[in-house]
Amino acid sequence: MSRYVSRYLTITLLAVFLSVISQFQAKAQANGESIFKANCTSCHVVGENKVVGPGLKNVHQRRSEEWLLKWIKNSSALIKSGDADANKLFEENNKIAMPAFNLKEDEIKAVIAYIKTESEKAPAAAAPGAGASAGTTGEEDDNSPIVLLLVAGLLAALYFVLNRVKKGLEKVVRQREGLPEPIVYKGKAWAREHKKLLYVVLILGLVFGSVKGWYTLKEIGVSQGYQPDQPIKFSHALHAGTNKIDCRYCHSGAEKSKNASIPSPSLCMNCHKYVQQGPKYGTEEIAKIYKAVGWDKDKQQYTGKTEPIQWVRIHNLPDLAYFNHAQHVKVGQVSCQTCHGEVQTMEVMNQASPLTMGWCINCHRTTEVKMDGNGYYTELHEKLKKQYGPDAKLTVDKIGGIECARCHY
Amino acid sequence: MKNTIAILCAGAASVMMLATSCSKDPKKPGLEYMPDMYRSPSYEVYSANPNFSDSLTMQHPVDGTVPRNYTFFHYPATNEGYEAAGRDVKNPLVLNKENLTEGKRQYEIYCTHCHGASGQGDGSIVANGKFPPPPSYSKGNSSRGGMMKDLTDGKIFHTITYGINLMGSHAAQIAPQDRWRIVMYIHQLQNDGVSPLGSDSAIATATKDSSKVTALAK
Repeated sequence: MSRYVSRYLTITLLAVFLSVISQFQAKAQANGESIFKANCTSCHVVGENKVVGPGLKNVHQRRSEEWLLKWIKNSSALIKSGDADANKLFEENNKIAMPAFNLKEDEIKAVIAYIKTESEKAPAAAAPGAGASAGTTGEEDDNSPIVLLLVAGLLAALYFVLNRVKKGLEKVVRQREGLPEPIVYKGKAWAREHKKLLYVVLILGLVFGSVKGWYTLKEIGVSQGYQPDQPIKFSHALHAGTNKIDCRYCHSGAEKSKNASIPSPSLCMNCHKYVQQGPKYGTEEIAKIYKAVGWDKDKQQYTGKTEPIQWVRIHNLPDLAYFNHAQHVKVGQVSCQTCHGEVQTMEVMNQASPLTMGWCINCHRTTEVKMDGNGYYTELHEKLKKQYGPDAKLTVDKIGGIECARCHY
Repeated sequence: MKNTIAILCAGAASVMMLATSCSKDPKKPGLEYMPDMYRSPSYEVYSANPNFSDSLTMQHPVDGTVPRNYTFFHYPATNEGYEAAGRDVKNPLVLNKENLTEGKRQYEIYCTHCHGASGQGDGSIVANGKFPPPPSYSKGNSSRGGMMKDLTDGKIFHTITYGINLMGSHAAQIAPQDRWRIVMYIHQLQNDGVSPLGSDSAIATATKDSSKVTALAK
């Protein structure tokens, strides 16, 4: 009996011991991950690409643990000590010094262990979304008018052939029965005989012409729905929608100037120095930013050779009307979406609003001015309260928002 | 006769449908009638300009020109400049509710998607795994030594102006005065969101849930 007990006890103890060890290892690794994320990720990735400092994939094979410990604790001391590897590394990375980290030895070891496990599983996780290349669905739509024309041509040919056959058959029947040839009308005589049909065609033609004409006239100078191809396939749905980046982070002029401003590619580099691959088009579209801003991805340096990106302008008021973004966004506190539509869902940007004068005026008639706590209007608000009564709805037209010279001068 | 009218009506309806069904090509801007007053001969801000060798209408200001009321920041983008700024520069703006509220607003436009609404380094692009987290303002270590919560006015201003590590320069987007307002609000985040103002005029720190989705005003 006691032998069984002792055997069970031994097994249990062994099991406990093993699980404690494995838990300890898992903890060390998790610990390594959190230390890595807290201290290292602003400059390094576990991959082959350089971010600020070199990619750390397989660094445990390249360097000895002893060297890594010294380097991480105080890299500049190691460089000063004349270590060949350290000096070479320093030169290769544009002499950007890695700061000294006040980490314990076992913490650094946990980080190295984390890098080791990540390096081993890196290939599977690498290149997310690289397989999803650009689709070419647009091609089919372009063919549709040609297909329609072909079908129409075929039908016309069929009609012609069948008509000839019918006439031939009628002729044969007439000859057999001995009937007279039918009277063939020509020109005016035909018209006189078919007045009704002519009237019908004329009326339908008039209806078609006037409806088509009306809609064409209404579309003159109105580019609502305009959705051109841009030189870079930038997705607002991804940046503003999925990533929740504020519109004004990139269009920082919207609050400060007449123009909402198109961000310069150097602003793109705030994120795309690190994000080198997109989920849909891979590296292709981001490479266009690098080209425009003159960034050498491999050397992590600016080459100084820049070239402008020629975006296609979508929202374009005629020059006879004045529009100021700051006035609407900063003072009026109008949201971007009021005029530009749900941009955060647009994969390809388009013009959501008609941008006609009637559209402007309607909004000015219905929108109440946000006067409370708005420093721009303190004085005016008092005046208007006296003029229109304390509870009056103060819309934009009440402060001159529909006067001609407000926009046309 | 009744029949004729019916046929005529049906015909008219189908013709009208035909007339309205043809939609225009979304890749083209559409018709313009006499665009003389739509497009003036002057060059627009972003249009190409043959008068300059780099073909840009928006030229850089002449070297050495400075905007009115411009405040200088004489510290270079080096570690020495960073330390010196941290030592010598103080926030020129008065700590009050207006400045702090504006600082919070600016922070939510320019900083939240990385640093997070409460400054813990958990912004939207960090949360969805696209960007590595920056250190927390209240708990993290600075890569240039010391704790993030001990960063001084000058050091934070230096970092916004020139960037550090993965963070780029934000000088082009944020005017110096607004940068100082953001610095003011970051001090609140360094102190775990406890407002530096008295409780009667304190402003609340945004939480993760209350952070807005790109939209401007509600």
